[in-house]
Amino acid sequence: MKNRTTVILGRVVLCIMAAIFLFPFLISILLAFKTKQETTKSVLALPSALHIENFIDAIEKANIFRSMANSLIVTAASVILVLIVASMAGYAIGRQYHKKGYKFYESVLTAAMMVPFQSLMIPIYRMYRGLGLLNTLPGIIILIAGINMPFAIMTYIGFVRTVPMELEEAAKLEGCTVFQTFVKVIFPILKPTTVTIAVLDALWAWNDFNASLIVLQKNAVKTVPMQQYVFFGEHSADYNMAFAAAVITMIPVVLFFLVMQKHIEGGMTAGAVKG
Amino acid sequence: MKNAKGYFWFLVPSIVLFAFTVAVPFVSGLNIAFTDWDGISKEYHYVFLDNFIRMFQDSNIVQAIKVTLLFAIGYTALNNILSLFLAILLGDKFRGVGILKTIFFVPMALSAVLAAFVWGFIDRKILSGILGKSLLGSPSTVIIGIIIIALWSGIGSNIMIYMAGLSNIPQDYYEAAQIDGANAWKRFQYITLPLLGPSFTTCITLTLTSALREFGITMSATGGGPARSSEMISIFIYNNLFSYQKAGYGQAVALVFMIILMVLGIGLTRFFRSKEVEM
Repeated sequence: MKNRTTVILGRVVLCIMAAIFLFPFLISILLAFKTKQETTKSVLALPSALHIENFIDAIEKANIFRSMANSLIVTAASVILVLIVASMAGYAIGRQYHKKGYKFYESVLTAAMMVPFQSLMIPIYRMYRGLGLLNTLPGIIILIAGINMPFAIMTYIGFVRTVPMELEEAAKLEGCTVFQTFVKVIFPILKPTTVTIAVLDALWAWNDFNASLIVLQKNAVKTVPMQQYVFFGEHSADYNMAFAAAVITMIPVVLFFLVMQKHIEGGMTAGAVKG
Repeated sequence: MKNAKGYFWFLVPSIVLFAFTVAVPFVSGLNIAFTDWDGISKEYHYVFLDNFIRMFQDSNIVQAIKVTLLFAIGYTALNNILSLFLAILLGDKFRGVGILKTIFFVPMALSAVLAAFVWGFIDRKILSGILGKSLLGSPSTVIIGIIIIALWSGIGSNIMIYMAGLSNIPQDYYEAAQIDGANAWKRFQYITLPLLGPSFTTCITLTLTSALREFGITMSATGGGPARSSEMISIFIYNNLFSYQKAGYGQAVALVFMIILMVLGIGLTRFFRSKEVEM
């Protein structure tokens, strides 16, 4: 159907681009296994042996496990909070869509998604300082959940509106309250949407930079990106150890991405994507 | 309908969370913008419109706007051209296409800090050897360097959206055009481009509005340097709070910034929607 040379040329270009995209991963792994002397001699040469000292060094100095534990807590808690709050709101708005008040609330949330975090940065810092929420995990959990909530609600509304009313009506006839109907009938039906939102929100929460930079300034509460933001700056001379630290933290999130890739693609192409 | 009231209670948790993290900070931000708050002390004074008037006399803000626009326009253009190009190439079915897709998508999994660190190293130790200088280390090329990092870490989502858009275009259109003797470029120009309308709306609007807010990669890669040459509006606002002790002024800038972003976002969506073709 297509010209053969065009097809081959296209494949070659794709492979070159893919090699460029893969290069940063390869260089990270390479540098993580090399000694300082080997790196000074030649950045790109292969190491004489696999030096795992860098990893041991990095684990000792980079506070990796503490920050990973913090990241895990922040990610899990903020995702759960978003799922509970957004599924309830999305259900109510989706079912009461004909009412002005609910539609108004939806448009307020849409507008909120366009507010850049930079416009909230200074007031949030001030408010958090006043409330003693700076440098606390609950503080950052609530903030990340709040920032990600409008997108989750929008996604739920879209799905709820495609779910027929019959099941709920049957549950109501059997005497279930709205809340019981939601928990027993609706929430299970929403599962595909819940998975998509959970996966995207988990990725955003794990990698959050903006909110964390304002709220998390003490070592004890730092998440992985915050820890590395400081660590990479301080250890700019000791590349090999820094790359070992980088590789350790890349592994879980890259694995997560690979396993969840279908859900991420689904969520990203579902229409509304967060910036 | 008897239960209509019951639905309202479902909104309450979300309203509380929204009020706490967005609405209250938003309103208190309106207040801060009219004060001389320094970001540290408990006290502040109202200075009326001083902060807004000062914006017009501040040469640093002109520089920040220039840098922001340069990055946002350059990044949006390159991202959309490259992602559409890659989406078309990845649309064919051949062995290994799944792995190639994953390679372009997977940088999305990494934080801005990691992306900036790895590319910062590549720039200093490898690219500088080829180009004769570090892109990030020189005021005249720093934005190019940041665009490269941002493309690497963010192009995946646009490739995904364009691929989905392309797969929605019926294959018969292309076959019919081919029978009529249209070459590959003509088919792209008269079938792909117009029918990809909704994808353009989404991708260009989202890329541009998110590029104008760009913060994490630049903060991690250069911190706004060298010599403020990559100090975008977002970093300018941050620095007014944490470095320059002019939080009131920073918030005034933030408000104007937000209004421009919202107008631009709505305007762009309207513009592209009006150009879309019914399928």
